[in-house]
Amino acid sequence: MKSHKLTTLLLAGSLLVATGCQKDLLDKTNPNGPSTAQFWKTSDDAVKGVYACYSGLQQYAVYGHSWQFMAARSDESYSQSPFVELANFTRFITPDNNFFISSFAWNDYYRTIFRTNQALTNIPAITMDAGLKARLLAEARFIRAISYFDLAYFFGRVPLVTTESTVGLRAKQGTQAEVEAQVIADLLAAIPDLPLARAYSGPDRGRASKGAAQTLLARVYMHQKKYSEASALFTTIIGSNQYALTDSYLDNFTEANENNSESIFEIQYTASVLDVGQGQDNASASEAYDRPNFFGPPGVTYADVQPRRWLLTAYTDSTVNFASGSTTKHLIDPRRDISIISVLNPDRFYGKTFTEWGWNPNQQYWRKYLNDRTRTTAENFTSGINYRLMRYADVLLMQAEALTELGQSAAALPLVNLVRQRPSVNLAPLTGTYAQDGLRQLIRTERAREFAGEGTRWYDILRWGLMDTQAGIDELKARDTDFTNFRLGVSKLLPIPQRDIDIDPGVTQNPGY
Amino acid sequence: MRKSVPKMQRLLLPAALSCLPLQPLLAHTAAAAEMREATRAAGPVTGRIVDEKGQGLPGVNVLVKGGNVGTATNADGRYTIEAPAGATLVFSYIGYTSQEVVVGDRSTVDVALAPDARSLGDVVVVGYLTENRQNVSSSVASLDVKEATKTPVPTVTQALQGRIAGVTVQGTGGPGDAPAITIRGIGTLGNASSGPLYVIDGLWSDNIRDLNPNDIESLTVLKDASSTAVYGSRGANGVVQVITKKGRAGVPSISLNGYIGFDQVRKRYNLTNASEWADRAVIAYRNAGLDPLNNGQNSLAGAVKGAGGSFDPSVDTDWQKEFFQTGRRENYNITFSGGSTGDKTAANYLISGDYFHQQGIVKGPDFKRYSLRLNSGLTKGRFRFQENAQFTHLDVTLLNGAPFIDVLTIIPSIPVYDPANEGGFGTGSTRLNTFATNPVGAQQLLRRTQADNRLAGNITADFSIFDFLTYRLNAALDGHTYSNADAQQAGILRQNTRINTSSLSEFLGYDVFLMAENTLNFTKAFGDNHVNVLVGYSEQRYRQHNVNAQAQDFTSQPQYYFELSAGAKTGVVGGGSFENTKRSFFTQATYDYKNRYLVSVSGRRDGSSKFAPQNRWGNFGAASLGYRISEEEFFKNALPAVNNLKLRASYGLLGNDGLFGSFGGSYLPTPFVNQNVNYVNGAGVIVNGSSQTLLSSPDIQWEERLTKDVGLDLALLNNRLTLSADYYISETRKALAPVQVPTYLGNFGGDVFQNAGNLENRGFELALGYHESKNDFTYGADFTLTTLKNRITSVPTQGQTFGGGEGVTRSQLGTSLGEFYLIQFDGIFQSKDEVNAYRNAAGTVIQPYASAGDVRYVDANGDGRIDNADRVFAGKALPSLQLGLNLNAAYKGFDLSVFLQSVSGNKIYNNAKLALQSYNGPNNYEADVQPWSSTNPSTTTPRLLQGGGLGDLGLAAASNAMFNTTRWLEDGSYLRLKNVSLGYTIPKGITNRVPSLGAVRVYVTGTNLLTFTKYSGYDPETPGTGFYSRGVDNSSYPNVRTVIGGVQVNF
Repeated sequence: MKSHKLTTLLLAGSLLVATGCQKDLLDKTNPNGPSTAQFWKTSDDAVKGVYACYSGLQQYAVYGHSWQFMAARSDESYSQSPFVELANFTRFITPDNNFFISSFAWNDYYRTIFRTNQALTNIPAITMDAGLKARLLAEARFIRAISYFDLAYFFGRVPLVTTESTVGLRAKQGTQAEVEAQVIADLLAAIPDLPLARAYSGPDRGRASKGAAQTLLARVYMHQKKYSEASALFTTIIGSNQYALTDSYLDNFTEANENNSESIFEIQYTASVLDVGQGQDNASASEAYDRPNFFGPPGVTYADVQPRRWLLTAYTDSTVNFASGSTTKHLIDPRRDISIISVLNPDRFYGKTFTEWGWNPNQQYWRKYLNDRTRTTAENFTSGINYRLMRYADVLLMQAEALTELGQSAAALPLVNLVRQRPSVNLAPLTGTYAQDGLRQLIRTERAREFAGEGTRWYDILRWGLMDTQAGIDELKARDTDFTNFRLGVSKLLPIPQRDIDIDPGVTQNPGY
Repeated sequence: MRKSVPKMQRLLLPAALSCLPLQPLLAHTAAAAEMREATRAAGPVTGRIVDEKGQGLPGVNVLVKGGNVGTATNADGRYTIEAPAGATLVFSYIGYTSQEVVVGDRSTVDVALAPDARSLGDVVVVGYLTENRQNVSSSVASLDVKEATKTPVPTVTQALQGRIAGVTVQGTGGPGDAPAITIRGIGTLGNASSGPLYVIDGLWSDNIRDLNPNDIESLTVLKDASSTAVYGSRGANGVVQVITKKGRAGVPSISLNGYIGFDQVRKRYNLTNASEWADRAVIAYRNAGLDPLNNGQNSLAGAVKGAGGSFDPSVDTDWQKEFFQTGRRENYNITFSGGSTGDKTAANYLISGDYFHQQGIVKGPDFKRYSLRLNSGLTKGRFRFQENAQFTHLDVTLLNGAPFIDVLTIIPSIPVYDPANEGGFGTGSTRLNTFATNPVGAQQLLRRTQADNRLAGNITADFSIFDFLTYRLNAALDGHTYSNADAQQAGILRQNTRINTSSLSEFLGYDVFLMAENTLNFTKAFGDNHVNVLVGYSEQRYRQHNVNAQAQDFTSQPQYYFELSAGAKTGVVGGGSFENTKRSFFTQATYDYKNRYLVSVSGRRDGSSKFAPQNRWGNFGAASLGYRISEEEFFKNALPAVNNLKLRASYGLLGNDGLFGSFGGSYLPTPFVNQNVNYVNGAGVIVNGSSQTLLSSPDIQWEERLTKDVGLDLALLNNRLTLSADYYISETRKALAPVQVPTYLGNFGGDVFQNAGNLENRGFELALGYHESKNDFTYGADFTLTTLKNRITSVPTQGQTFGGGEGVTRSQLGTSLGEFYLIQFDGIFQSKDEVNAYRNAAGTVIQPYASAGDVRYVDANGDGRIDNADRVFAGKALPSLQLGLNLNAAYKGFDLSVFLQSVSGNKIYNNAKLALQSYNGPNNYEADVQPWSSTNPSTTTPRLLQGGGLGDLGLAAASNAMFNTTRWLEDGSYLRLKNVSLGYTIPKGITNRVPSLGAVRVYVTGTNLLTFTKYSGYDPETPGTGFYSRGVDNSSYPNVRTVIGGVQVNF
């Protein structure tokens, strides 16, 4: 009997101790953060949700890195990276449709789109200030538009995802025109609710503004050759009195003077304390700019991408001009040495001259966005310089381009001269009258100098149709032998990552891949 | 006699439940005792128990049948026991067949125990029940631990390879490597959950690396549904049951084991020296139209021997020589154990201390394991307690990068050390362009270390309520803390890489697994009906917590001080935690009639916190039938030579909740908001952004595996010849897998778990053994054969494929997992005419850019160009046939065993070959592989052609270097002389001169001594690089050739 009492005790005791009889044993909630059902309740949540959209643009494979490499396929840049597959990518040799530069970019654009779709789906139900709500939704639309804009012109026919992703969702692949239409629709919806640039102040500076959305929309129209629609938008932007060229050209590429009067839209970065690279989504992740680590001279950067030699000579201006505050004549466009490191450039880079570094005098390297003026050590993943995606000089020159195409050369010329004559550049103004094609070529040269190394060039040669004809390819090939391997009707677009084609049989590959 | 049965059970039930091998004494052999009448008065009986070689066996259990009296033999195998009149003595010892001897009128009983005839006649633990092996109707195989551990292994799983049919073991030779084992094929489409469940003395674990192999008493592999269904959701991929050694009553024993061994890489490549390399590299540049002297940062001036060149004949590095070293392994183990048996009490204890150390065949990686085991038990009346615990401390240094490829590709004109480079290591440069990483420096500039502590064990408390009913509480704990650090010194290891910052990252954390099981076991014989029923309830809890931190910019003078506070910049902090739980109800029962007709059933109901409430519970169950036809009188009369013939069949459904990924897979159904999707505002301040970044898996439910098995066990010639054969078909349904979703969904943070489809494995398993003992000579042979056919039988959405696989494999409906999907290599163009003649049906020249010496591919879809659309299925990654053959012999003091193992039917994708024979970037070349040239019209190797040339030359180089082609695919079959072991036990006459010294055995063993294979890589026995890329050899750490010498001493 004694032992049976013990048994009972033991049984009861052990069951209690060992098994706890916890009713909710199987109900576990994630201690690391809220579920989506718990989130999206307050105005603060909406603000954070939209910051996440902006963060998408900052990613490694968007403007941080991949975008820069995709744009570097243009005739102003080339790669001599010993990483042969990477260099081949800029030579239009892409045997692997999953090559990381383009497939990571594809991924990161869609990560951004997923974030914007979440914001656009969930913010409307939040009880909050109506004005702020409308603006946040417009900002999300703007960011979605940027993403589809790049996807449309890099990849062409891409799946259109406009609702919040779930695991089972499959999207229809749009034509390039349908993707452009999506960009236009988002921008048209966003423009009324976006404030003017100068309405933002303090920490809000740099957010999507009316002018930014209008500029992007005008870029789409330019690609579509709808010059009058584009020109009308440029007129609005110029007339909004929100923007002015900076006196110093250099101010557009340094950490100082970010979000300045010339800035229409920038991807914001900040120098992070640690060199952790390739921003992830965690508290300690770098919020710094990756590009300087890859675009620059060897030893201090990976030197993966370099300017073509012709660009150096393009800065030799036939018009006599004067350095600012000086009467000394000089024949070299001052923008050359801000854009490019070469043996011709007398500056010190990271504390040493070109010769002191022992760099090859036959080679030249990108200088824009480098921290060579503020650092003497190698570049790494801690650069804080914002990437200027759209600046006012671009609006002025595109308006000049649109007007030229519309046959209004006389109206175009003063806009070009504004860019040529900013104080730090101070080239002689263009005068006289030009035939349409002559002015067209002048503007193109001006753009090459003004935007060298900024990635704009790829969109320029695309818009100008140079990649649509053999004559155009021959012109590009003369400047950049990489175009030898350019396949008409194929190489203008990147391959859609094979991965998605394998997973979703509804997605088809671009022709020729 | 009828009374003696329950009496005996009272004594033995707790013992049986704690897995001591005494259960054969239960009921079924009781009849033997009736045969003789007592003719002797009570009194002491003495005797000596010897083994098959006539040597005294220490620690043999001696029991008076039906009573409470027991003892154990001393070091010389002698015993004395007080035996009543008419007593029968029972002698039992692990690994030997138990014997019962009627004392009769004798006062001395000497017995020679025979090694158990290959798993016949002993008991085996199947799930929660201890069963007589003869009556097991499931598919269960035991490892011959004694034979397998003749060759010492760092981890017990390595000893399973080739020795148990149906078990596949894939591992590397890396220090501390824990090989992946799969039982009866890969039963899941996922990738972390395809391993078996390990049950170590009642503790559930998926880590067996830290278990000291010297402590293992027995290891049993449960293969079919009927044996694993009681493990429900963890049983789907098989169960490995491990029982550790326990102390035995009798004279306390001490044993010492020690060995030292040396490891070497199996093969080395014949690579070009500096001068040969330079000649080839210059040709590759010139063929591509590139100037080796002036090609930007890709110049090869260092290879040009003539004018303008700077080839330096004084540098000629044999990188393999610099990189490889003779590895070393050592192991020292001391075990002491003992126990006592009294009238109503019994106690046992075993303490084992072990040190294992392995140093790599490469300078850098290192593994040290310190372990201490304490197993002890106490029986008092109806109570019995047992605890088993091992404390382990690990000290590990990991391998960095992919050095087994770099050592081949880096060029011989680069010195290992170069003081001009920060960090001090030689790299490619603008005069010696190569992208290879310095493999020696890679192990030295970065030091990744792990320090782990693990306490794993359990405690059981049994209470025998009635003779036939026992309650057990099993409480188990597996607690693990880890402290990992990555200490990075500043320096460069590769051309064109910026100098990395010095940094220290630390990762600290713990995980703990707790489980509690309550079981009630009913066992009773009703005449010839034997019933054994168990019901149970359990709860399990797993929790993990971690923190990490990083600092940068450490001072290097006069040395690095790698502690976080010494870094000039600090910043990264992170951490997280998760928990998951499980609640289960289970039952297991066996029934037999006359030991002839056998039935077993089992079932489990599991609830897991990992699934949404509506999908939480899963029911699993299985049944088996067995028929020991050899027990039938008619059979005995007809075929007396057959000692045993058992026919078996089983059927059952198992589950799997092996989810992983974000938060250990604990919260996958719920979409989660990441609160650190941060951005920078216009004031330059980092602001929090929040967003869902990983897609959730709202509808996931239990994966199920349905297994059908038929088998037979046969013993002939007095049990000398044994055979066990099984055929099974197992279908995994609703396989849980991290499925690649279209990238355009914007998912980030891992593939998304879904119930991804069905998968079938079917196979035939055969284990054949012959063992013979003649006087001083014993010998035997064991052969295992495993066939395996794996096939995906359904996918969730039409056309869905499982990619991954490094871009070279594809898994889809109808294929096996990780099947190669490649463009077909079709030889080398011998002339431009051949290029121009190579057209599709429409007349398009398929490879217009090619010239003589370039690679030709098959235009599989006939569209006139070579691209991804030309990929075809080109071979399986999973072997279709695996064989193992173990031969052993012993004569007097000598013992020899030879073990051969083979796999065939699989292909391996050789990344090292890709690196060496692509020729598009300056890498080293194989001296014995001649590239195509006009004077050497090779049909297998293209011309030297550096990538980066203009126009067609650039295209041809890229085409020659294409990675996803069958050119890099090789036959992965091999036959390996896995082990040879020779031992000598010093004759008693000598060892007896030293007081208390027992048996002393010295041995030498060799591992991986010979390999027959067509595979050209370092090692055909590669584990591959991931779930869908098991056949992709990224030059993982090769299995090594090892020679070991050791000694085993007993006191």
